Amino acid sequence: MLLHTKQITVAFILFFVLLLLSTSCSHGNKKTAVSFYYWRTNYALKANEIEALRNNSVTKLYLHYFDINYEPSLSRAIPVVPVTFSQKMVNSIEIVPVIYIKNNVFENSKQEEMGALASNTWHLVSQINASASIRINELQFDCDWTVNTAHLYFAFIDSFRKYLVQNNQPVKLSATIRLHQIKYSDKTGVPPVDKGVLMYYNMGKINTSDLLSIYDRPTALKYIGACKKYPLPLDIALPIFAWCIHLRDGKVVELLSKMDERDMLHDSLFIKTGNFRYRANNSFFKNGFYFKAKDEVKVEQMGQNQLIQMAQDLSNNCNKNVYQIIFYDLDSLNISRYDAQIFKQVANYFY
Amino acid sequence: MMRRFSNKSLIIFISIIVAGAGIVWACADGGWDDGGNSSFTPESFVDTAYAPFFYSDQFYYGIGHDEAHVQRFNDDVVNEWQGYLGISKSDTELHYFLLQARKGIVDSVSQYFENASNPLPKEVTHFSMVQNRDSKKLKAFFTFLVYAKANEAYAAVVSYYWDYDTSKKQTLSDADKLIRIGLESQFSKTKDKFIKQRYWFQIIRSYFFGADYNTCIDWFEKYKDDFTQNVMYYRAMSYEAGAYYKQKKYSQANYLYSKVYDAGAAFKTVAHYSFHPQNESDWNATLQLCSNNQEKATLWQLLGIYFDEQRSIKEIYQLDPKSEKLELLLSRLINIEENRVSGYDRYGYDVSTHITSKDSAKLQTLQLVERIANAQNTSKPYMWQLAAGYLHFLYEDNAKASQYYTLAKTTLPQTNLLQAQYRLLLFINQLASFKTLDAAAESKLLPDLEWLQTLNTEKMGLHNFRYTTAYSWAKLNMSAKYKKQNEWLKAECFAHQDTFYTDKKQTANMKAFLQKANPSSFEQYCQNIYPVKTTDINEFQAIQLAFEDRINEAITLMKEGTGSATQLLGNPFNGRIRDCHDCDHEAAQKIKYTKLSFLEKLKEMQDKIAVNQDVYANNLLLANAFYNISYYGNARYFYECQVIGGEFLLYSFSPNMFDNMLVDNHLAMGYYKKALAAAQTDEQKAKCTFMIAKCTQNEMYNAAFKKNKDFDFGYAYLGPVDFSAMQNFKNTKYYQDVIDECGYFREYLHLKK
Repeated sequence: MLLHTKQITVAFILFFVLLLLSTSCSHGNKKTAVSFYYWRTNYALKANEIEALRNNSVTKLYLHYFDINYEPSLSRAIPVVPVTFSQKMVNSIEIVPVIYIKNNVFENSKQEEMGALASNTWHLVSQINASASIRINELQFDCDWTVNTAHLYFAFIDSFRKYLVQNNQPVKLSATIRLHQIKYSDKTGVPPVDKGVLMYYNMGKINTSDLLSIYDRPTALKYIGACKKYPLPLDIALPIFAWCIHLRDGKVVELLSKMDERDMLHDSLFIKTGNFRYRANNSFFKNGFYFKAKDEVKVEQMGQNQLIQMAQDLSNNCNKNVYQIIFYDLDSLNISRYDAQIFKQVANYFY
Repeated sequence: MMRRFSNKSLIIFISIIVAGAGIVWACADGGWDDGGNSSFTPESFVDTAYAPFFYSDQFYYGIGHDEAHVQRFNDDVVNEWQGYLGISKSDTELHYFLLQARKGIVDSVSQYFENASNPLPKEVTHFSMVQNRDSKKLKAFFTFLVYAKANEAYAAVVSYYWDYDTSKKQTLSDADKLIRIGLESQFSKTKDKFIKQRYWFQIIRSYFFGADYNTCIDWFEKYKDDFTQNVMYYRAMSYEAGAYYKQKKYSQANYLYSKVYDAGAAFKTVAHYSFHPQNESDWNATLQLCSNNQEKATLWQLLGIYFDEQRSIKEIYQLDPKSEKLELLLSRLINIEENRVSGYDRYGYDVSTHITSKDSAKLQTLQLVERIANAQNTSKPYMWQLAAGYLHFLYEDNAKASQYYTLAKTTLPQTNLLQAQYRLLLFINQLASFKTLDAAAESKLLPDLEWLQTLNTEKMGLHNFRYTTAYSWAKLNMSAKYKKQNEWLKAECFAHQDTFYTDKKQTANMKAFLQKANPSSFEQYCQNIYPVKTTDINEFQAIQLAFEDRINEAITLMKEGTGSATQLLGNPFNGRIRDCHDCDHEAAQKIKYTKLSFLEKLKEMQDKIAVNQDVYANNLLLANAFYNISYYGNARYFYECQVIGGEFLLYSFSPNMFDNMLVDNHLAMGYYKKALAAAQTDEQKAKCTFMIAKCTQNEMYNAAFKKNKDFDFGYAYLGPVDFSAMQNFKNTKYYQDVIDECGYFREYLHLKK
């Protein structure tokens, strides 16, 4: 009996330990943090954006510093529209610079050019930091690299890290990882960074079909199982942006950024023709875009339920530590489509 | 019958030229330009001031992106000051002060003009401009320049891509604002209109960069009537427009941008780039601001360039059928339509190449252009008639096209480019209308074909003339028609077929055709355009004969062949355990063989064998030679020629072409076997045995390639080679050498163990 009691005691202790482990988040008691990307080219937070940062106790803002693009007319990679600042930074919020590098940079470069590209990039980042009195602990690269460009992209990151060491900068590096790069990491390689961010959007093609380019659950589910095996710690980036796709004669004309369904819904110049579909009944200007009569608009925006669904799917499939959910992107238009508590609600699924 | 540009082979042909991949057959029809696949040259009809807006895959045709923001008006600035100061155009001093001198130097010179006791900077002491201190104009110039140089610090910054400090938006410092007070004081004091206007401009610009938009606008409005409407005036107006734009007053901003756009060629791109209506309300308000139809036409032209040529043409035509603003839009409309119809899609989206009779875009375009062409009330009726004709050609109605061309001829001006454009359109329409190509058709087409073949656009004053696509299309169209008529030689002359020379009879026929004693004019033209000449065919036939071991005949033809003197890179008689072409090419060679001398050496060896002289050695060398001229050997140069092509890898050959011949090692194998039979020592036998195994291995590759054209030669592994015959020569040095050099052999031994 005694033995039995002991066994029961051990079992109980074990049970409670397990219970503790399973109910607390897998990275201690710390809650999964809410963060945002800021992607406009001028840093000037609007009132509801500041409120969103405050309400969600945001301590990190991923600030888009600039793009790097390959310019064929110059035969070299150049930075595009470095961010400017019209406001002082919020003291309590750490800035993480994000640099989007178009894959064409690596498609058109040679290994021996990576050192110069890294040096130029660091030089520009330091100038931006200095101009806005920003001290950084982390820097993020965003690139949809492929099997063919992986070796150059990774060589670039290695060179960049060398510059950090040479300049005595204790800066951690992170990189965005697309779903296909998670699933086929043995082919696409794993970037030599300290941390990855799983980009849980831009899954489909921008086209005329009814499938959404931002998020398509069946597509996503085919890939997320691979999260568990990914060799880097992963944060998760979720889409709160919207865009509309401007269609003409069955072809894509352009992306109508900073527009959502509200723009068409309350405008008599458009006729609703279906779910998230509108047609221009005349030729006219709207929000700086020109529509010809019979042009179509396909709206893509994520509802709250979809965000919750993403969180459920991801938390069920990624059993690794998720320290933060980064929402793309912090913009008054985007924020205004959601209830104030949705961001925390989504993050809560991960602990 | 192939009539439209939508023909698939044309698209492929275009791609080949663009990619530069048609090594043998992409004959030089002329350059490739921004016109893409166009045959309708906007320069024929439209004022060149509008050239940046010609339809192309660049943002601005011929420019790309406009990056001339800092230096755009440099020449105007220098010229205007030269006129004002009465300085000769060749004088470099003014140019130096205006565009190069540092602010410090200008400051010192200005102070010197104020008071001679102030020293002149050493850089300019010898300048004649500083010798005349009494000149009021010069003094005023240097006073002004001090302010202008100070303002350049924020208004004329040359940005460097990777430098944040110059690439970001410039703002005014407090010191800059103090300078503005000085500028305003100078403006009040100055009576001279020339100088006063320049202070006015500087002040307006300073308020713009200082983000004081209301004052910027006020300054322009208050004094605008005091000055002539020159370049400086419209530069100032640009800042007023920018100020309205910054205030989100889009209707005023866009109205002013349109006025600036109309002010001259130099303003066009920058004003167009700034023009951005936001919503229908501000666009309508912009139209309301116009004081006449010409201003409205400018606004519609800007809208047309950006978004909607058809709508703008209709609106402008209604305002003023004679408006020159219509011409650019019509050229864009036609260039866009020909691009759509041709199916060559420069933006990478899928474009249907099939234009049906119910195609709504086609009907709209045609209806609009025909309506205006028929009314004959524009300032260039012939442009509308040619456009209508060309649309009918694109839509395969040659009779209607012809009617419009006939109409156009009556008013067509005698300029080189227009006449050439007219002739080209007429030619392709005539060709398209011929169902078959008989002698009568050929004689009608020949003058135009010869004209296109020898066209030198620069010499003939036809700069920018777009004819290459039409000529390429014409050749493909004719080739296809000849094929239908079973005229294979002409079909081949107009468009090469990969398989043509795989047929020996056709090869001989072509040679006879090219050598024809009294060719007709048309046949002569065919001979001229055909990139393969008789000597090329001789060389090709010699190569074919060599691969059949018919060396005597090969020598005869090679002597009359194009590449007879072409040197082979390595010694073609080498036989290596492990092939290394680069090693052979780099190795010192006492004798460098040409294609011809190589063949002659083969004959010499064969003659020796015939009289039993050095039978082993000669057979071995012949075997090595036949090995080396195959795809696997060190002398691929031997078979590279105009007909077969050059620098190809095997997998780039078309099926059924020459691949079987080039990869085949059976001749080499045969000679190795003969050498083996004549071998006397084990060393000799070991060598022949191993080389036979090498040929056997190549046959395995060939078989794999025949089975699967995607077979990768570089990486594929086909399993162990049978080296069992080598077991008889274990005691030879050669056997040890093979172990050292040949991985396959080591692997084989390991497997056996």
